[in-house]
Amino acid sequence: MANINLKLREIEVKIVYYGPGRCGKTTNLEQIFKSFRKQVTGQMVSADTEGDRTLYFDFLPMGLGKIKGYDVRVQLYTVPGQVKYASTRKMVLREVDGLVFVADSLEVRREKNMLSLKDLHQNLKEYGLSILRVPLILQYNKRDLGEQGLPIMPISLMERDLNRQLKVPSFPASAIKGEGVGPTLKACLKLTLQSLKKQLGW
Amino acid sequence: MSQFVLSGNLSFLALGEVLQLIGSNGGTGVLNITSKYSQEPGMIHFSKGNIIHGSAGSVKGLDAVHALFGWVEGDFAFSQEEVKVPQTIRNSRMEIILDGLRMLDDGHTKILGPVDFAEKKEGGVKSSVPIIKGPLVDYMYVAAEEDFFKGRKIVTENKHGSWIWVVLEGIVDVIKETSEGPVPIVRMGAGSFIGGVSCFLFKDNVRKATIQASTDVQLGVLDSQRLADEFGSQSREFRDLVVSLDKRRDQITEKTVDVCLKRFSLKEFTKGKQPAKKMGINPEKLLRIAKGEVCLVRKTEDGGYIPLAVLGERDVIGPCPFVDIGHEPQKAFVFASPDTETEELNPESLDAEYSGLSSALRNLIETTATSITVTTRVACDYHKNNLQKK
Repeated sequence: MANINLKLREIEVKIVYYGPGRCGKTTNLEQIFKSFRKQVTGQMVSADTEGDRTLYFDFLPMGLGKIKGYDVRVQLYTVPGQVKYASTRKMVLREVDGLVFVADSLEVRREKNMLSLKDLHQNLKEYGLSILRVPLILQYNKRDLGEQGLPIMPISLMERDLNRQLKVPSFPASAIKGEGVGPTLKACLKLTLQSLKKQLGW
Repeated sequence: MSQFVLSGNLSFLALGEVLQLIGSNGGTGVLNITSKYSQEPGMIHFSKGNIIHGSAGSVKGLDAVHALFGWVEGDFAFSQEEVKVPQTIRNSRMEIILDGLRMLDDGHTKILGPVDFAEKKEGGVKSSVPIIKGPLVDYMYVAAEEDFFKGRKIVTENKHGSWIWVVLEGIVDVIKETSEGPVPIVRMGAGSFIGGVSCFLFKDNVRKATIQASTDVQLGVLDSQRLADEFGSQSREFRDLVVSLDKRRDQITEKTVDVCLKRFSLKEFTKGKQPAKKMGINPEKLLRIAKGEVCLVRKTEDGGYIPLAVLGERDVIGPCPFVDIGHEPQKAFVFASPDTETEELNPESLDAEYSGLSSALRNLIETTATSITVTTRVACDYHKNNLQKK
């Protein structure tokens, strides 16, 4: 559950971007960082984990309003998927409030997507969370590659592969162009705050 | 003296989380980290929630903070005070945490703990037999020092002997003699003990394994009489539990040899026994066996099963309250004979007794527990290697 900082009168909400390697988690965060620059208080932190970068920054989004007089501070993370980064993953996934699963639309990545989602399920389980209960949004990234003639999967197929049981909101996106990044985050924040209010009994 | 405003155990709250907690509260002061595997405490200095300096032994600055992520076992205590050290670190808190964890996961940071998996080259052959290390030695109990040259046998399997040594310097090999040559079990480094509590209990003291000096070693002979007296004054339950741990270690060592030489049959091993749960025995509780016989089986990572130990009357099963041996209830299955009867022990009072022991006796028990965990792992590795060879 979210951290409540009584000193600063802030609720810290932790949102984690998960997905197979090079699916565009980092690009998502970079786009968000760019467009919310004015609201970002710290700098973006990046640790070069093998094959994938781990990113972190936090910001106070405008327009989210206050909850019971508390500002909502959003901490965004990406998480390295490889098995060996267990302690990093544990720290990042601990007390996660909301998740975005970024899937790669390229046909060749079909299996990678499914494996990574299964991984997420397993990891959450280890930390006592259920993938069916944690606020989760799917993003089908790299839609723009279709225009360049690369074989991508139709949305309906990805829905069937990944979202058949979860039945969570999903968004097509092209993170590199900034398309779909905002709606994904907004939807995730909305779900997260709803679940948070429920947990707190507010 | 300053007052500690936040303290606890790192196995519950990891360093990354402690740093975030102090950071988000804007704390100014010093975080002390102590590990029984290090003589000096580690320190991290905060100013208004930002990390400005760190030290771990002779290492200072950011490298020290990163190194402290390897202190996975230990205690932390944060004191609020004015910090006068010059600022050597300017990185953001989250950057330090993520980098620290990454280096730990990448294997760049050395883990300070009871087991060292440092791979050592021996004549071109990689041996990955882990080295067990113990906490710092309490010299109060060392009666004499002895030196052994590399290659010398310190203890011979099946010979009688009741001395207990603590390794002061160097590394020794624990070996089982078999018809097909010696089988290496584990290696023991500074702080670990040769011998267990059973050395001062029974008259016929037969050594269960051969101990050989892997390097030139210096051993400390322990004042066994003093330890035996202390042990004798503990409650019956406590003694049963510790003796049972010793027995468990011997059994696992035996079974490791069986696994290595592929001469075990699970069917034979669990013959006439039922899963404990079916018989109303709950292995999540600490139980002493009053009657009957139980055996322990472990599932390996590759999906196979290996035998661990057979325990009988007065032995104890269930989660050990003061040390984690990595067996039942999570990692090992318990099978019991139909006539098994058990009685429940009180884990809290046993834990309290353990905390009240002298450090030497506590460390001795800890070495036994660590050996159980590590030997089990070695058995799993042998099993895996055998499968791969097929």
